[in-house]
Amino acid sequence: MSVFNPYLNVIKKAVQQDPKLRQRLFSAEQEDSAFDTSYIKALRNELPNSKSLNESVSLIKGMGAPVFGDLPELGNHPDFKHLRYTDETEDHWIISGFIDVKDSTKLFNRFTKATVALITEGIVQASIFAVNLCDGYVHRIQGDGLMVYFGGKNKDKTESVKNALKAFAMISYFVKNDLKDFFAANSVTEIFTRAGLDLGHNSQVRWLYSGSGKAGEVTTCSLHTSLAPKMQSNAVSNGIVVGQNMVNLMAIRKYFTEKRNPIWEYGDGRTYSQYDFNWDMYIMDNGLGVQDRYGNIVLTMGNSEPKQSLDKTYLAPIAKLNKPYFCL
Amino acid sequence: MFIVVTLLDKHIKEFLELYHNFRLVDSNRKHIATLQGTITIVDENNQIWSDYDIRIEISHAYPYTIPSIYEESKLIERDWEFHISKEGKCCLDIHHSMLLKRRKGISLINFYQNVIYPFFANHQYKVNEGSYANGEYKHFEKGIIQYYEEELDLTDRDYILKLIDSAILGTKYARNNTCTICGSPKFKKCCLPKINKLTLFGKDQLKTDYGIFASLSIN
Ligand SMILES: [Zn+2]
Ligand SMILES: [Zn+2]
Repeated sequence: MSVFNPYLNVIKKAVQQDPKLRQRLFSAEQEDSAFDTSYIKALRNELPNSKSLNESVSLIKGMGAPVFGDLPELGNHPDFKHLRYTDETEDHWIISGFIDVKDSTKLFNRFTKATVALITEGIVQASIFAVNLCDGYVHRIQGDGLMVYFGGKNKDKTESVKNALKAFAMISYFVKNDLKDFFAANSVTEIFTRAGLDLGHNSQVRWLYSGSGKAGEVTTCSLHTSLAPKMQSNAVSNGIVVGQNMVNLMAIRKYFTEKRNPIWEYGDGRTYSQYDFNWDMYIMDNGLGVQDRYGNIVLTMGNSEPKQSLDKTYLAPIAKLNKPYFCL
Repeated sequence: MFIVVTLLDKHIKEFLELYHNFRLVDSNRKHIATLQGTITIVDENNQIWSDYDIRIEISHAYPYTIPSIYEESKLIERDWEFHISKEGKCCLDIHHSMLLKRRKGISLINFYQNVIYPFFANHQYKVNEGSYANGEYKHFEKGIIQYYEEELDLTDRDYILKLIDSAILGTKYARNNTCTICGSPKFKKCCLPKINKLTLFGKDQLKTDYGIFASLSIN
């Protein structure tokens, strides 16, 4: 049982019920409009809402994860929402993160647009879940991606950096492992995430209300909020690129590989570096996951059923390879 | 200065790149490489069963060697019922099967996945289920007799003794002549393949086996 199973299950159903996938063996190209995709609406409702989100949370209680209530509203970070509708500003550190889902056009050859949209939505919803679980705040949802913040008032900066890394590692894990295992079985491999994260310190971030009248939001004006999506676009498939300010706060540097080109030149000869984040090593070292027989990572979060409820039929095929003998 | 990178070094490096929970430790022992780490038993449905701290000792005869495995977390009861010594050394499989592996040469990752990992998975199976998933060999001599029966399909004491004897002596019989062991017209079709198979265990093991079968009372 993985914390992401509720999302994975909906995506699985959408793929299995996709009429285009079912018919492509039997008939020529057809327009999407020729298919009945009304089942998608029902499946969308099966995606966990904040209520079942809390059920997932109770599942992982006692594992160091914060418990949260209903999903907070988007667009106004709770610590800075007093700036709403004002022209006041406030300088305060924050970690800005961007993550988006990339699916190749191959997906559209195989599935109806409705299915592709639901797959993307499933990943985005799973990402929201992970961000909230790790004490982050979803600022904006763009169809196939998220803009999020980690940190705020009365929060520890280093802890927030770790939380951001953890949340993004979990999302990357979900798409690269859980989801890919399933898609590989369906001979689709072209779906992945790319992410960027950066920290701006107090002197580097200004919070303000942007927009006119009521049609605006509390947001940040910061070089580092702007660099995060740039780093995202430099990430490899399922990769996470993080900024130098984040790395500087981490005692252990082995998870970060500096990219050849800096992400920013200040114009006075100084540069600001970007780093590839080795998230699978991070997951292992921080006890967020374990490795199976073949070295595949399996998340431990939410995966702690009592022994007596484990089904031994899945253990038997591995155990059977061994026939012990006492010979000492 | 030349740095000789042996096959063992290369395979240890590949192993450590794949399994993040293991590390190479300085054991101060010549000709032995020691890896230490945690093995987590995860089944085919991603259910997590248990963790064991283990130590893997590999001789520099690699790949023609069988690594020694020690269970250090003491989660396996030190009782011969669990195929483990007081020091935690694990009996992974019967010697005969290991001798065949050693002769062919092992590959560390493959050995981990198909021998070490299943041993601990099977321990989980036994503590939760009461018995091993695929049975087990009886202790000492009885286990060897069982191996001959189950893996080689040989049960007749006198016949086994003749086969072992020929394998130890390495006598060259004419392949197309009448078999001097069982009397069938073509040696190459009856007993020769069996003798060839036994030869793979090596003379030391064959002498032990001969002693075991010879001491059985004639039934
Ligand atoms: Zn032994
Ligand atoms: Zn014969």
